[in-house]
Amino acid sequence: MTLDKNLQEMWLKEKKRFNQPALNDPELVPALEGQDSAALDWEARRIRVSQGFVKELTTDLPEEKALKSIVRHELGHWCYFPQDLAQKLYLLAEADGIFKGKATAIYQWYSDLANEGALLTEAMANEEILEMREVFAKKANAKKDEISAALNNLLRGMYLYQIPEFYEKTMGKKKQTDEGILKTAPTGLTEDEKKAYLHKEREKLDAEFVKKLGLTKKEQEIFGKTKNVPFINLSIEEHLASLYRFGKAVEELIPPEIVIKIGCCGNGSLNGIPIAALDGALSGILNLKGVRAYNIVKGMLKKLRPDFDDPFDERPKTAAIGAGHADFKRNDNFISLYDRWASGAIYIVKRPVEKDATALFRSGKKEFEVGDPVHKIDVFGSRGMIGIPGISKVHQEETGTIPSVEFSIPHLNLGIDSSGSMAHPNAPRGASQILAAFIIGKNYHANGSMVGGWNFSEDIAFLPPNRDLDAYFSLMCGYWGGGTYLNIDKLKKFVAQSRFGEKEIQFSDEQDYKHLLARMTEEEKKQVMDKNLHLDMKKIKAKYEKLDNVLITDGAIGNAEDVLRYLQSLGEITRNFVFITDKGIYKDWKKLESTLPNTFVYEATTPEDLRNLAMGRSKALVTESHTNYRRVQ
Amino acid sequence: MIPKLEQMAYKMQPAGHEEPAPRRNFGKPDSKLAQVFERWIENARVHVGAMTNYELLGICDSNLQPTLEELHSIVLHYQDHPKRQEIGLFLSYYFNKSPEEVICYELDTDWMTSLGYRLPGGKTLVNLGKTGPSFGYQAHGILINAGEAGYTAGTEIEAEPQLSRGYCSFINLNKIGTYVGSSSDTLLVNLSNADLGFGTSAKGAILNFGSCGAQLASSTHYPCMLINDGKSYLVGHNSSGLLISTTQTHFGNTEHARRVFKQNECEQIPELVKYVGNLRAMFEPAKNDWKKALEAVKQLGPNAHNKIKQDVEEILWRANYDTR
Repeated sequence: MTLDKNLQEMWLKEKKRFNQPALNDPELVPALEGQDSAALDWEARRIRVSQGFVKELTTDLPEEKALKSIVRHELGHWCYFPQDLAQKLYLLAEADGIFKGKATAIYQWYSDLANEGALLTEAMANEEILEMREVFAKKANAKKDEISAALNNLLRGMYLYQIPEFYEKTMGKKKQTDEGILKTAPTGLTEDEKKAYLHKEREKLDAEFVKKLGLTKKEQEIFGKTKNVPFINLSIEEHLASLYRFGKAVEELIPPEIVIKIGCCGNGSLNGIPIAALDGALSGILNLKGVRAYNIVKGMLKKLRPDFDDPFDERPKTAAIGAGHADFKRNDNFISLYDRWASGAIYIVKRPVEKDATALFRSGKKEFEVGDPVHKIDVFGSRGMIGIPGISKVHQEETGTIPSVEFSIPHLNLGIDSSGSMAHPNAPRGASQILAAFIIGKNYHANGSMVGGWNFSEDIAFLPPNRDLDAYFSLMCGYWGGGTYLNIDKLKKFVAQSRFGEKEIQFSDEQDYKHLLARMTEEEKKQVMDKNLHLDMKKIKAKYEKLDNVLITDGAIGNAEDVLRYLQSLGEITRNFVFITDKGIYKDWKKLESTLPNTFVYEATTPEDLRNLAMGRSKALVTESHTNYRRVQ
Repeated sequence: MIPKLEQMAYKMQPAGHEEPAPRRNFGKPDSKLAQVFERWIENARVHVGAMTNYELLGICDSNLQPTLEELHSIVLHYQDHPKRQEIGLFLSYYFNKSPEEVICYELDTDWMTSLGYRLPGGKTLVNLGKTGPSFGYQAHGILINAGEAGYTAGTEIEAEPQLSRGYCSFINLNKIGTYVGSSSDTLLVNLSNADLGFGTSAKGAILNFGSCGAQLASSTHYPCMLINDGKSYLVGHNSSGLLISTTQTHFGNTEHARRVFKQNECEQIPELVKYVGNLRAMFEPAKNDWKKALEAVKQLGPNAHNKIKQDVEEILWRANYDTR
């Protein structure tokens, strides 16, 4: 049988064992670009094996064993480590920061270690992996490649040392636990003496073990540092800690001028990974590890994959229009970050956008007859003869259907607190209130509603609900950074006078306030000065027919009473959702919740709470879509 | 990494497949240090002052002696923890307990506070990476910054009275934030870039061979002594110490200073200029190799700030200036 045929047969068996039917059949190539061995091609989802590499390996290993170890090793990279591209990118980026030029080499070796460790403990691979490492070391020694020989020996040694079954086979006895060793200690030892005894005995046992491995003096020294580094069944954070410890131990082996030849699909390479997969992994890292990790990975991608353009960075420059305000700092450079972060939680309401409702409409005229209702008489079309049969005209009515907004998602008016007590968009762990605003905004927008809101501290930046999501994002990323005393009068004015669809951010300032007062009658002035803050609902009811009013704040507002009264008046036509990030203040607001119509106050004391509440509010849009919004919390 | 449910899926026997091999028995190496850390960080409170959390460690610790690599790996493991700024105290605790005399910190963690807190006398902590505010707060040992450190580094550092443990100083070889070495009573040396207020309210000796922001050695108290052989302005503002500048510089309000020696006066005392030159030559090689800084401090002996002060005062005495 040919080598190719053997490989395909082996593949069929292993594919079943690993339960990976979606992977493509392996490819046997004369030689691989870069490291001439075997590699998993992430883009083609197949293993590539170099013919020359197999031939070299089969001089010391039976062909079946050689192929088995290669296939299992590569499948392990797909199933066990790194398994997830986000994990690979994150660890590579961290390694890049710590080990600089040696990062790729160190990551590659650690990746093999973690992969094979998982394969061996899961019993998806057996001694053939250990034999493969032994042969690699032997070959490297023959080529006088001390680095490769040492690392292969180290890897093999770590498997044998840490996996009890292999330790037992190597030493002919079980590995002693600390308790077991202490049982052999002479009686009457103090704690310190016991510790010293344990240390001494452990060293003795380890020396015996190392002797069996046949390591060189240098290798023994490094093995002493790596033998206890965990590498199996770890979280991503634990993997990073282990990668560091392993890297520090082997760092001296790797010369600084090392150039790793990486082909299209090397283990430590990012070549050949589809752009869409990188994009997905970047979102994964943001959700898994947060802003810091996202930034370092993005920085690494810029360096290693210049062809990767972050799709979230591509947005029109007109995102934030409006006159601007000296104290209001726009942070549009953070839009892509929060946009990506919020993109994982979009709930689309599956229902017809509009439902027909029945209504009467005028459909022509007829001559007046006795008994026709008088209010239907067309006074202008009756030549002045009202109520004269045959001369006067009356409007006719028919029943028809009109589109109803009853089941549509309300528009969004989100108030975000950006006073000094709230996190800045550039905060190391991100600003949870901005993330929440983005999640909510994206959901309302995706469901066809208009999004707008107000960003407040001592002043207010207001954006009427509109369909431009970027303008909304720009408003939410803005930061005042002052104290919190809400200019409710100005907000009232904005709400009353704003035109739907406009995407221009408007600002409040002292001058506005004075002008407003100047135009008022004495009675109106008195009302404002007395804080009569009730909104005139008649004027704005038509405009704000369906509106969800969300407020995200830590609640430390100087004039909290005014805000509550404002919410009370707005609650007549809208639903108010208030997310309070301060525990103490939440209790005060919660007490008042029952007195406010259509107002719901939630506690969001941790960033996770706020994010989950935002997602919950978004998800609720789906559950609420089949019923009357006003009655559902 | 693989969720348990998914692992189970691999092990399920699909129709027509052979029975999978049983999983190997595997004992994950215990991470007692991580357990101690988690126990401690759970109870640690932020913004309470370093002492409370540091002393809490004494309760959580189970008499471990971790290696430097293990400690660094803990930092990397928990670098996204909500209370991560407190990790500096965790490191300090084990640095202080460690038998190592010279400890090098090399991670880029500009968010970390109070690294090197209460470093014992005679020990040396070298920052080769990036650390945040209060590096070496209340330390008694030698602090060398060859990386980047945040504001208020070296605050309240003081040499211990025992001669064997009296090696204490703060040496900046790279970049450092504001108000470094404030209220300290030891030797402060700047060979590179320091920001505003280097050596504010200090009582020891301050040597500036690099570039400092404004208010170098401001509000210092006698017997503090400043030797400025570099750049700065508004030097010795409101100081009551001895101020010596061998370079052209702009002094602040020095009406309470013990004595001010400006550049032209220093030139009249060749022995003083030579002595300052010798000090500079001693520390200058450390710019490229931090180990030279350690050698220089050791060469000066324990309580180096007192020795420098005595030497200078003797030189001035011989030149008929009584500054004592």
